[in-house]
Amino acid sequence: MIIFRSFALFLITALIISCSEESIIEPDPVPIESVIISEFPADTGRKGEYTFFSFKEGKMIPREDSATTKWDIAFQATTIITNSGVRGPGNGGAIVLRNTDFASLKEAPADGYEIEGEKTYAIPTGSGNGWYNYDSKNMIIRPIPGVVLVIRTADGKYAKMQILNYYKGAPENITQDDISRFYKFEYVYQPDGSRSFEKK
Amino acid sequence: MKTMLKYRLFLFTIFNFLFLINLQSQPLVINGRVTDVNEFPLKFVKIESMYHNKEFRTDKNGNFSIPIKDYGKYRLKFQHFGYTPLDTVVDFRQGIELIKIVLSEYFFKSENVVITGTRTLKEIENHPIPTKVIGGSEIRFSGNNRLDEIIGEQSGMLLVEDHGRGVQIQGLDPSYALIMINGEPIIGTMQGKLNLERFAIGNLNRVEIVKGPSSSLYGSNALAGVINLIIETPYNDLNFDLSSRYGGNNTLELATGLSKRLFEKKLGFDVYINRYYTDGFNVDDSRIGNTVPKSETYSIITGLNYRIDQKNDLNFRLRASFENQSNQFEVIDNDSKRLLDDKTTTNDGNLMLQYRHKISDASNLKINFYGTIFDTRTDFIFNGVNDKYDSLLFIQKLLKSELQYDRLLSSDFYLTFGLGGFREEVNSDIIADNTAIAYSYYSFIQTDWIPFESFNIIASLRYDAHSDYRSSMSPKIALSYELFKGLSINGNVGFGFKAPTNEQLYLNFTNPAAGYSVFGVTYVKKGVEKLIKDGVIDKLFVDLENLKLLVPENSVSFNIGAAYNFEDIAGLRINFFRNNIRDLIEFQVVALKNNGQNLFTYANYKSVYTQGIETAFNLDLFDVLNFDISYQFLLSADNQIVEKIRNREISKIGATGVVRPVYLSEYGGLFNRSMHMGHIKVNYVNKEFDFNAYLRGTFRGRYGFADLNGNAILDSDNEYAPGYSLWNLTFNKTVFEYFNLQLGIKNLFNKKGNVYLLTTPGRTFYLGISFNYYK
Repeated sequence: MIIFRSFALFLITALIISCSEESIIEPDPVPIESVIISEFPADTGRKGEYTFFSFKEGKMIPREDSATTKWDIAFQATTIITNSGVRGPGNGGAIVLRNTDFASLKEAPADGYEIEGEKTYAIPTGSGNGWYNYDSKNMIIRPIPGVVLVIRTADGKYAKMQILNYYKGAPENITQDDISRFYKFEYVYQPDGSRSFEKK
Repeated sequence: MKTMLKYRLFLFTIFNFLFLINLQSQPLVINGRVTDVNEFPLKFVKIESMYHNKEFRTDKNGNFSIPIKDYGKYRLKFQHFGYTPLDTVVDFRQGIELIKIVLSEYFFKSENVVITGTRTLKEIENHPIPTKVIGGSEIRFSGNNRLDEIIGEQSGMLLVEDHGRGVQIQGLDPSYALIMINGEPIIGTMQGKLNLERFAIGNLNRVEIVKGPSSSLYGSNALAGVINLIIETPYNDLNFDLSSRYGGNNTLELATGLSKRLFEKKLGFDVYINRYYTDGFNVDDSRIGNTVPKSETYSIITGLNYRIDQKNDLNFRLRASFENQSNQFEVIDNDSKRLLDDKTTTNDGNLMLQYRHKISDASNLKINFYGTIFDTRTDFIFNGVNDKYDSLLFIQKLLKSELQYDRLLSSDFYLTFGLGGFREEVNSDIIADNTAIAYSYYSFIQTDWIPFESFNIIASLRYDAHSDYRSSMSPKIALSYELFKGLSINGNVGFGFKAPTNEQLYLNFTNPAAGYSVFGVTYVKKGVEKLIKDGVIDKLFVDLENLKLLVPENSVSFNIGAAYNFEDIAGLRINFFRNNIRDLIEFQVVALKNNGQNLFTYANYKSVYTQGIETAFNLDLFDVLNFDISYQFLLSADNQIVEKIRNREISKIGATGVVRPVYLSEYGGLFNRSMHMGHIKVNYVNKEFDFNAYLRGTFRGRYGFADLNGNAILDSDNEYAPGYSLWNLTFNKTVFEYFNLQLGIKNLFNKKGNVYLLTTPGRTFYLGISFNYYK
């Protein structure tokens, strides 16, 4: 089924490419929408394994494809990596914007993208460094308000995302009894390769 | 002549008396001698003459001479460090040659003398270091039987729960207050916190509370204040107590005490035994097991004091307590819920041996040996089967010896010098090599100086060196000035420090469920090197060579206040305080492990402050109705957070759903601090019927309990827990002279169910009877 789909995709792409040689028609602007993903697991079995996600596909990518550019970001507990540098073959990267309103962010920054390094992460790990704060007294992880992760995808396109919750069922009042490692996040993906997140 | 003198030395009002001898003398000079009760002459005694409006002093032999114009009555005031002041009128008639004045040493029993603020006995009035005293009768009439309960009823003291019950003073956490017994530190802390519920209080003579820093005398942990529990052999010939109390949650306390003085009171002996049992209680019925577990505690406290001769005395004190707790809770084991029995035994004991030697009338030497041990063991066993799920063992030992030397250099200058050292040992499964041993040495010096009438200045300095963290120098200066009779002002500035906890120094812990590890600072280098060898470390974030010894958390504190007393009827106190605490110890990430989890150690990071105003008012209406009302206003903040808010680096989602920076005005400071807090005590005494009713209330305003919006700071209304008040009421009635009946109600208005409240079982009643015989 997957093979069939990608074959179809290949055909369509080929068609577009072949067409565009003659008539330089602007492709219809793809309406970009905000998408919310709920209960995305992140190593819930506590084996130290990542789960992979593609913005283009809008869904989880199987683990077998971890060495490809089919995924853009991957989750393992509180760590989120990009398909770049030492952690993936892609051309990805990320910027952690702070004190930024997700909806109001109209454009991805032109530069400043961090890639995965030997000792560094494109999205820094640890409480207060990246996307979350850890309340050590109550042992609860909460996303930092105003943090927007601008992601450069494996194939060099842009998405903005914000983490909404880290617990199963995305409870508003999180308690120690809630089950962690279930991400709820929101993103806007710009498939045309531009840095704009505005709806046209 | 000598025998005559002795003969006439019959016992007067306790120890103060005048003695006159007939002989003719000219010219007109009042000659006299000041001695202590053993007829040792006292030198440098300050003598104020109202007639001359000037000061005189005794010479090296305790003699003085004051010229006068005429025979008659002269008012003289004698003052001497460590002795009860004597204000007397001398009738100087013809023929009197020598006036003999006897000053009595301060006795602990005296209500007006305290020791904690200076390590020397000193009058409480106009003391530069204000000291709050909870007397033995208040402890007994309150019906409280555990230390946390009586402390929590005092002005400026707020009970909080964190690894047991502790007290927040001036907005600082319980681990920033030092708890002592007879001036010696109590051990047995968990994460640096001492559970005050461990201590029976039935035999305490008094509790002294000094707020503000005292590290300059006592070293570590004396930042926010010092609580000193004083137990000593009563001075009576014989005391015998028997008491029993029964109350809610099947709580039963039985206690008996005996003390006796023998050989013309030279030898004193006391023993106190207490058994405390409670079923405990549960505040959350949806959970299995108790919030406060079932427990049984035996305590024995005994002491011996022996006055060898007029210059030497020996003191010995032993305290031991044994506690058994049992509880149950559920765990998930292999995806199924199983019931666990939790059995905890806690034993702790301390032993003190003290030798005091009077070198001369102006100098004293005190040598103390102190040893204390705390051990707690917890076993988690699957209910029904004898399978052990887990067990924890923690043993802490401390051996300490100390020497203190006091010397009166002149009539208004008192010097105290001391040095000591201690050895600490910790044994636990969760620390590196299961054992840690550390050594510490210290010395301190204090001068207590009265440069002129009604002005007192005390300066002290202590140096502490420790084998496992950086050494500390703690100075302090305190002064008081009596503006006029009844009104005095006082202030102090001091440095304080808090040693890193055992966990911060020695921990070697890996969370079995989450997989992260925490290493104490003394172990982290060795530990990480071992893990690298084992191939468990993925990435190292810091250079191991750059990891530093911890600096003790340290503070600079300011207190300035005034006290006004109108006779013994009414009093008003006010105190402004500010505590700046630096180098707070926090987690630091060292490495990433292969399992994706971090490895932490500890490092000095942030700085915070607390500041506020405390006021207290007391009124005594015709010895029938006593009021004691206090209020504290408190502000606190984390300095780094303030800085970040100023730089607009912390955001929240505003009312419109759009992200915006947090305003400084929204920042509520540190969590678990109430801006408003207060206490009220009302005691109604009916002497005719030997009856009293004693009502106490504690109020605390709203306080931050957790971050809910993810920005890690207190900045939103729903992050506050609502305020509350708790009331206790006790009735006492004395019958047949020796019996006291007690009826008490704890938590009068049945406050419960609020998750943010102190753990309280709701309203409970208790009934007690005690027999107290003394001679």
